[in-house]
Formats: sequence, structure tokens, C-alpha cells
Amino acid sequence: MRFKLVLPILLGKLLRVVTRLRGGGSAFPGWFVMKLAPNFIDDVIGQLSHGVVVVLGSNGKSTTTNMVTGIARAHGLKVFTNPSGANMPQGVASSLLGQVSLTGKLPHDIGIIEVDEAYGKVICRALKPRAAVILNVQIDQIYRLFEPERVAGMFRDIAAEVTETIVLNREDNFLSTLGDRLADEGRLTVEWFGTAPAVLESAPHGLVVARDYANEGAPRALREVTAEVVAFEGATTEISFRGEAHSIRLSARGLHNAVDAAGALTLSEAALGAEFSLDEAVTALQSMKTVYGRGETITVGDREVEILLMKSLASLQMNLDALDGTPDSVMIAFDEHSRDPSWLYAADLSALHRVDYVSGPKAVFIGLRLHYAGVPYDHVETSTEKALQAMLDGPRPASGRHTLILDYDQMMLARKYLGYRDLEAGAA
Amino acid sequence: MSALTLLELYPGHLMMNGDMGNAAVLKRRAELAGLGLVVVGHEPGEPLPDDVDFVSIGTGPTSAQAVVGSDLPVIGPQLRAWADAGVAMIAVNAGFHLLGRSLTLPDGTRIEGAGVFATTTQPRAERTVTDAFVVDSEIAGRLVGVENQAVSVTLHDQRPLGRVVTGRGDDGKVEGAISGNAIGTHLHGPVLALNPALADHLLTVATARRGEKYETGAAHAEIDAVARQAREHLVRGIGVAVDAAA
Repeated sequence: MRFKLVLPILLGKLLRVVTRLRGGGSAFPGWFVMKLAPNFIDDVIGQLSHGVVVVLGSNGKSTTTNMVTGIARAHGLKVFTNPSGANMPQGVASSLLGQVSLTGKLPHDIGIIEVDEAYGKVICRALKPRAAVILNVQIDQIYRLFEPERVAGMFRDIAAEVTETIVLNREDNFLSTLGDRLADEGRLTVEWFGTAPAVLESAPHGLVVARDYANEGAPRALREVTAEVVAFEGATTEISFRGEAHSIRLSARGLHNAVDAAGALTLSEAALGAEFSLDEAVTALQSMKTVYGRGETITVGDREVEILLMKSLASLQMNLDALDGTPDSVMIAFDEHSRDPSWLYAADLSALHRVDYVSGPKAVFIGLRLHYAGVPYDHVETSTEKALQAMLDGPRPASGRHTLILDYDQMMLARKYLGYRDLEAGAA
Repeated sequence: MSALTLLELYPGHLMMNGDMGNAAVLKRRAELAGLGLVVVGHEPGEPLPDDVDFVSIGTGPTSAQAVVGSDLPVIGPQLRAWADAGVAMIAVNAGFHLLGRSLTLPDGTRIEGAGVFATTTQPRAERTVTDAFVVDSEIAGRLVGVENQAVSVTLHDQRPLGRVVTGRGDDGKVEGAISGNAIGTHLHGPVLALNPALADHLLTVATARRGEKYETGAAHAEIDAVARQAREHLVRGIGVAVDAAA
């Protein structure tokens, strides 16, 4: 029994109830419990029989965490996972608060945790992950992360906290260099996942990974992949896992989802060891629901509402590249907290021929971008809910589908408006 | 008249913050005015076109600056000749520093710049990120954008682009540089998308060099109203007006 934890946990749980009643989730209870019991995460996580594995990368963390969680559950494990968005220490502590008993007992076998790159070192020092997957290094949030090199340095520091296996994207310029270095050091097992050259060539903008200018032209080590995307069409992908090809129907379209699945399979094998069954894993991937707002389709009356996330150049571009033809009814909504709108001009918007609504607090920046892309738009409505309702009140598009391309907060608002109140932060 | 030519320097290297949008803005505004504009890229080691009407260069990570630094001595003389001949140039952040006399990278590496601007650039430990970066210029009035840089720029008998209203700019007082029709700045957004007056200044001088006229119309005015709303959005809540006092 951990009596020293009782009071902090009791107070933290109460705070959690209060913040949830006020609407939405909050990392504040987690921050609070860590103030009272600084080793809270350490104490609780130490109970997991299969330890912790972490998911990192500029994009795809939530999708991959969801996939690995589904695979582990299909193997009969009880999984503790953090809702996406809660990927900083206080957020993870908040999630743990919701699961532990008053004495700090955690009734799970494995932790599968999504971690923000900037907080990864601190959080991984607390979590002591057995294995980690790093999905990609992309140009992302430069107002806080600055340069891709700096992000690659964060991942290098995080890798130092991993104890057994690191799973890396072979097609990522920075991660391939990191993996070669880790393989040379020999402390960690380095596993690769990848994308076959033909698949990569057929992708309009590849994987939108950052270039590593300092190491371009350096000799490449032989990197044998554990899992490789060898074919891909819409939401169906063929992944070769240790030489065995499997066709997998994923829950969302796009090469980025297929590559995330290859990473998820590789991390799952590392996490489950001898218990890992590829057939179980593939079945789990096929029966998986989409993560909130990442290629999710919601049926509303006589039409579908598809939600695509645009939280960075890479996520916007990969989602546009994955579109099933030219969408005939589109809304794009931009968040207030997207501080520097410049990156919108790095995106190729030629997949869009017209946009019905530009929305969100920074709708005007989307409008300006569309003007310069020569893509007409019909309406400006800064309230995403109002824009969505107006679309639903309008004529049914020929495709029967409204495509919503939404920044993170607008995605949450749109889902809530459509009646999905079990929001990811709220599930913490 | 034949199409205008815009030379985009190192688009594969200096592409970190959407400054390629400046070329897209000039192209779109030219086309709306009935003028053709062709964008030509240049990467290290490649030949330059014979003649250009515009040069655009954006920002990139330190590693990319180090790589293109080896190409600058090769193309520097041509860039200076074009600048002397009045070619319109827009150079943003790292691109601005690289078109100066010299640039010192954070690891101490010194890069000889193209010498279009009489500037020297030194690294700073602290990065400046300004969500509403406001500069008052003579050529295009109040400019609004976003700042994200970690340098000090020293001007050597060099005219700045303008005076800092918010943010840091070159040294906390003045921002950017202007030599003839060449403009260097730390303004992102991209700068020409948010500030069409500056884009029109460049289009006007570039067409005048050819003895032609650039005239805006209703389509430009429609975009300009949207750009103004975007500038208003950025300065909202910081107590700075979107237009400078007359």
C-alpha cells in the first residue's frame, strides 16, 4: 500500500471531477498531484508487468498509439494509454489519476503513451520506456520547436531514456541517421519500419519529412526493415512484416496511415515479445476505429461528414494527397493558437477546386491563402459550429459527403457539435 | 510583353516558413493585372538565368544556410549586378542575412554573403518570436507579419526597411534593409501576402524597368481587403493600429 499517495490522489481525483464537470479535460489535476507527490508517475507506472512503450514523432502519434493499443488489447493485455493531446507530464499524470485506486494501484499490464517531443526527455525519464517508436521529423510548430535539427536533438535525448528497443522510420532523413548511430552504440536494439521506393515515388509529396542538410550524401548503412509498406490504395495497404505480406484495410485513407501501421506493428512486436501474434495484430488493425478527427467519417442524416486534421504542413499535405478525388463540399477551419500562418503557403492546395466555408477564429488567413492559390471560396464564418450547421442545412453534395479540414481545436468543436461528447481530452 | 521572370533562390533549402508564398503572391497579382510571371528555381551549383525581373529568397534551418553558403560566392557578383540594375528583390530572414555581406552561424562558421545589402549578421542565444511584428516603412507604410529569428543584424551605411513598432527586427530599433529595389526583412506571414502594398511596390518597379505599367483592379482590391483583415487580426489586442498615423 502506498499511503503517502492517498491524499494527493484523493485531492487530484476530486479536482479531476470538478474540471470535467466544468466541461472538457484538463491537465491541471495532473500538475497538482505531481506537486504533492513528485514521484507519482514513477510509483504508479512501476506496477505494469509489461512496462511502458512510448510513441513519438511530429505527426501520427495519436493514430499510432491507437493502433498499438488495439493490438495489445487484442493480445489480451489491459492497456493504460493517454488520450491524445494529453502528451505532456501533467497530462499523463491526469490520465493516470483517472485510473488508479486511492492507494495508487493501477490495474493494467502495459502503458502505451504518446509523448510530445519538447517534453519527451522529462516524461521518459519518469516513464522509463522499454521501447519507443519515432515516426518522423517534420517541419512543425516552428514558433516553439524552431528547427527540425532541434527536434532531432530532442529525439536523440529521448532515445537515451529508452531501455530496450527503438523503432524508427527508415525513410526519415533525421531518424535514419539517429538509428545508424544507435546501432553503432549497441545499447538498444534498433528496428526499422519503412515504405517501399515505388510507393514513395507514387506519393505526390512523399512523406513530407524534413531534409537533413548536414548529412545529405553521407553513406547509408544497410537498414533491414521489420515492416514495410509495399503497396497502398486508399485505406488498404499491403505491409510486408518480416517478409510476410498482409493486405490490411485500415480505418482511414492515406499513406501516412499505412506508414503509421507499419510502425505500430513493429513497436507492438517489441512490446509484446514472444506473445506477439502477427495474425492477431492484423485483425486488430482491421477492426480499429479511427482516432477522433483523423480521417474519421460521421454520418449525419443523409450525408457523411469526413474530418481531416490540418495541424501542420505535413498533416494537411498528407491528408490532401489522400483525398478520394476532388471533394465537392469543403470546409477549412483554422485555430487561433496556430500562431504563425506562414506555413499554409508551403502547402500544395491543387487538390481543392473550391471551398464552401473558411472558418475558425483565423478563417481570414485561410481565405487569403486560397485567394493566392486561385481556389475560390463561398463563405467566411468564424464559428466552426455555425459553418458546419449551415453546410448541413444546405443542399446535399453530389458525393453525399462534406469534407472538413480542421485545425485541432476546431476539430474538437466540430465533433462536440455533432454530438460526440466523449472528447479525447475529456476522456482523460 | 513577354512574361516576367522570378528567380527563387534555393527553394529546396530555404523553405522552412512559407516564404515561397512571396513568389506565389507576385505571380498571382501579376496575372490578375494581365501580366505573365514565370518562377524559376536555383539550387547550389545550378546555372542562373540570363536575366530576371524578381529575386525571392526565404528562410531555412542553420544546416541549409551552411550548404547554400558555398554557392553564394558563385552567384554573388550576378546578384549584385542585378541589384545595381534595379531588379526587384525580396529576401526574408535567413535569405536576407545571406544576401548581406556576411553571416556568422551559431557554431561560429562565417559565411560570405552575396553583398546585396551592407549588413553583417551575428547569432543571438535567445530566439525572438513575435506573433504581431509591426514595422513602419517609407515605401509601403505600416507592415505587419510574424517574426521568428535569433540574430543581430548590423547595418553599415545601409538604409533599413523601416522602424520597429513591435518585435525586434535588426537591433530592436530598425528592421530589414532596402537597397534600390532590393528588400531584406524578418517579416513572415508571408510578408507579401499580408502586405500587398509591398508586393505592388515590387511589381511596379519591376514593370517600370521594362517600360511597362502594373495596374491593379477589382480582383486585387478584393484580396487586399482580406489581407487587411488578416493584419487587423494579428495586431488585435496589442494596442497597435493596423495603419500608421499619417
